[in-house]
Amino acid sequence: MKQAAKGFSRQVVEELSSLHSEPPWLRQRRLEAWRVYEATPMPTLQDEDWRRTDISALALDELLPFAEAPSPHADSIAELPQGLCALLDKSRPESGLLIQHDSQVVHASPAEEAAKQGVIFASLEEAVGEQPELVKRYFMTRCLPPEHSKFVALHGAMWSGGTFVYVPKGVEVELPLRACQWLARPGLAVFPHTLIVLEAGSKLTFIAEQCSPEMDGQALSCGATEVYLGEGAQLRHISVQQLGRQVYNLGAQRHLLEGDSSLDSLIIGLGGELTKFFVESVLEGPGANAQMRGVVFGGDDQHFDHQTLQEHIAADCSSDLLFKVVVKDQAMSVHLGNVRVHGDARGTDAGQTVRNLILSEGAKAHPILPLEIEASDIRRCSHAATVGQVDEAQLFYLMSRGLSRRDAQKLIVDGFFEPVLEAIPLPAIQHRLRRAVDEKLGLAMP
Amino acid sequence: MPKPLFVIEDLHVSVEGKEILKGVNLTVERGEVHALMGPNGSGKSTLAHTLMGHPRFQITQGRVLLKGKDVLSLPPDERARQGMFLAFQYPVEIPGVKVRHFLRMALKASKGEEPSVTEFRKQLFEKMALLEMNRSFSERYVNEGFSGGEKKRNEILQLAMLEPEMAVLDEADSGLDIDALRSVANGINKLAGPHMGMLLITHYQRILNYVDPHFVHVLFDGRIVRSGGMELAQELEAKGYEWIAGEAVA
Repeated sequence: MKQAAKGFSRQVVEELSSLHSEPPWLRQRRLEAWRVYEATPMPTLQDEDWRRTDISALALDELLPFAEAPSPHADSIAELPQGLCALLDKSRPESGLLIQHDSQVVHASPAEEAAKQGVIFASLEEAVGEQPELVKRYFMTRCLPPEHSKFVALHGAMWSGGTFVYVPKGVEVELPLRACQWLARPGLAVFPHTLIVLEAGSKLTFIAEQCSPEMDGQALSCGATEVYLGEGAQLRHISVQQLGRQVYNLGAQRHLLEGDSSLDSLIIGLGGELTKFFVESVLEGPGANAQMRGVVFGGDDQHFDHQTLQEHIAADCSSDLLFKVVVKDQAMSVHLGNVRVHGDARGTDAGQTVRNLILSEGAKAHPILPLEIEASDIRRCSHAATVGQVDEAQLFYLMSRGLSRRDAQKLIVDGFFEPVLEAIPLPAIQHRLRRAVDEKLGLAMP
Repeated sequence: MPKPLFVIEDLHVSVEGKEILKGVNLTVERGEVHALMGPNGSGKSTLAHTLMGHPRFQITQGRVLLKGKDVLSLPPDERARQGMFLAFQYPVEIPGVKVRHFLRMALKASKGEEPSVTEFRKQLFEKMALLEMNRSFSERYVNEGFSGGEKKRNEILQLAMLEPEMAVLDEADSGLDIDALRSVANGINKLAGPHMGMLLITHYQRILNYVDPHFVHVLFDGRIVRSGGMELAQELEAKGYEWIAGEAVA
């Protein structure tokens, strides 16, 4: 099967499974996910989670569920398509880098130092063969089961390619590991899966990028990311989304945190036509800590919908969410931010802040931040949302120093994002994102 | 005869229909430092903001000439490029923008060309040394978390870097303790010179213990009611603004 027929069906699921020569348990999981998909109604504007996000223009039946990469294997990044190549920092050694082109992983350079310490960094398809027990235990079981939501179920049935990271107990991985998903084919649906398992006391920085060139036709990126943080594990997790303007992006990312583990996550949303993205942290063990940050910049008629969850199950955990959103033109950003504190979660310290900067009259932002608190003895549970335009006092101050109104506005927007961008460990990605922000402001040539 | 550097001519300004400035006249030449004193509500801040082009203030009459050219129709950024500068009484926070980056952008915008990185650094560190400022200051976000004194010194640093021809300093001394006041005043003294005209707007006489103006003016109820030298400031300090109020009423 080089290329499946259009649309999704049980038959396609079986063909995909055969194509990858999958073991029966995995085939079974695909079929079970498909069953859940079929049993789950298609989201509509009547559903609480989808009230402001309309996906009726997404022609699912017209999409290809799988396509081979034009060149199935690239030994070095120089062999990759130019647009993809431009994303990668050529000055950096090619290690700790995995690339998925359309439905296939075409490059995986292991992080050698880390491999010596037992770290596994490979395509998920490969891991199914080589680490069946690990994958069987963690893949779409406790973290993101198909029952999570309609498109997670579709993902479970249709996934291909994917990234697998395993860090053994106590191992600290120095070099950031990086996975880049490149979707370049109009009419294609891709389902990249990322599975990260950090054993107790381990430490990792992981950077995930979803990118695509501008295309002349609809496409779908339907990814899922599952992360397990063992006792005391530490993860910095950065996700950059720079998909082309024709792409629908329906994804989910969920972190399960055991006791005293700590997560520092950053979501960057710049591209795509429409994004509905679930970002969830579940604090299952006492003393766990989750920092969840986000940067979103919408222009033209882009639509972003980030649905976040800070779920406090164990006692004495803390979580803090900060999303910074800029919208211009006719763009819209929805943020549905849930904080859920279970009855046993004494001493919870949870905060969420969503700040929206509106640059044009036609642009809109809807932050909705409900709190559900069952525990009685908590330290803090706070939420704050702001929606506002660029401050005239700031503009006057900057203009009094000679900056044009446009440059003043640019400086204010740059400053709004800068503290988040400057914390990204790879300078080349920082640079690329600043450029992307400038392009969106209409200040730089693409 | 060369044109005067800066002339305010019969300036009337209203805010939301209420007349605040009722005919201000003032001429500042290069190399001159003018102090403009006045009580609360006399129109000092209105004047400062109007001179820089704040959109809130409505000019009903008069002209403001910089090197012979009326600037009242120009937006603030254009006035800055023509050589004007306003040190703010309440400098505004620009979160996430480093002082260094901001100064570079401002320099590029007001001079029309971008200085090279090395040239800019050299210039910045020279000015910071002149103003006895720690270099780490330039890595902080503009006015964010600054103390009152740091905000005012940051204004003086901008003045030093941008080298305007006409500088208006709006209450550069307000809210400062004695050490911060002395440091701001020292900065002003180092920067004043034959190439620049300076208008120092202040409520209190105390900054004039450190900065010697050539002229002192008193603004009262939207008009300059007295002009003189340092002796006028001393007289005000001794007698208070009520003295002027009494005269104005009489």
